[in-house]
Amino acid sequence: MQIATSPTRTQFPLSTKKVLKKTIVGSIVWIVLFGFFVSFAGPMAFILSMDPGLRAIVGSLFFIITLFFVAIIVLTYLYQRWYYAVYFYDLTPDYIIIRKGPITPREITIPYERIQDVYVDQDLFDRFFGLYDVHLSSATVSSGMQAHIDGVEKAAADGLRAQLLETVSRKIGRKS
Amino acid sequence: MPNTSPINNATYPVQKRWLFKQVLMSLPIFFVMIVFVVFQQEDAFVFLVLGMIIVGGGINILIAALRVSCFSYDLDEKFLNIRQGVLSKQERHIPYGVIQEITIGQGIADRVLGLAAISITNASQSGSYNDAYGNSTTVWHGIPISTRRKQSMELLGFRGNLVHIPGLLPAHAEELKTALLAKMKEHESDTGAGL
Repeated sequence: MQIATSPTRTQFPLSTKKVLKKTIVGSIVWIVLFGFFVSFAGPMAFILSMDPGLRAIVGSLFFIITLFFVAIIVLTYLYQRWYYAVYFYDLTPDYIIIRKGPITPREITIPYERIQDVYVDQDLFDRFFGLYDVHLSSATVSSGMQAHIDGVEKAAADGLRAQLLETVSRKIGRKS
Repeated sequence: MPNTSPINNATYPVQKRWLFKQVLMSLPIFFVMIVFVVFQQEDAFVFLVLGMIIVGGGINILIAALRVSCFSYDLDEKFLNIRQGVLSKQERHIPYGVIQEITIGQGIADRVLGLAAISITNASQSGSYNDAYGNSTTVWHGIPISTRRKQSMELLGFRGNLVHIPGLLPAHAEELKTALLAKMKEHESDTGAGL
């Protein structure tokens, strides 16, 4: 798959662990449901194993549900790999450009002068995988939700933050 | 040549096929109605529902066409001017210095029709915001709490702190963005908002 490259992404790469993390987060409901199902289906199959007819039905049901579960995981994984491949971010001399979404692409462009704050955070799953999200927002609500680079490792997160802060302060300094 | 030729809705027009997007977007409702029709034996009811679908789609297209014909924008030396409104007319002039960010987006229907939408946001609202489809999102400390879907017709023009020009060719949207960014860079010193 063609990876979207930019000077910034080459310098501060997106971690491949992001694909794994997003696959797990994206299918967490199904994982929990499947866990439930397995823990109930086991005892049930044991109880019903006296009757060969019922046992066949339970067996095929088990097979179909497992297949369905595996298909969901695989599809989520493939989608996340695609998402990872087209994820584009670039710190050009004048603007920050972030583009994501393979099927419904969305690209946001923010000039450095409009940056209100830069912050780095980790959610619970990010802690497990050692990933960081670098957020930057302008004075609008929508930018806070869209303008973030998520799924970079510590070195890249620190590098991105340092470069962003350096450029922003230089741009503001020149203005006043 | 974005700098020499004038940039307005004549050079980068809203495409005619954007009108069909209004039908595509209400397709889920139509689909439910069609399923209804399939399970009905009564002929009169079938015709009623099919009639509603055709008239409803026609009205949607008509309203969209009226809005497009009343919509215009242009980029002059100092301001981004937008005019809209079928019955009540509105005009808005945004100085380039206060534009916060520019977004180019494509939804599913846009991908199918080969269109793109450009959104220009300035900083004049907070608390809750509306996107181009009228989905209002309640925000608490920057965290989106709830999204409420209000209408199926896409915004054409401006609402709140958002200016939305949909139905452009992707190449046109890209050129419009480049031109706007150049203007913003030119006027960055007269910013009234931001830092």
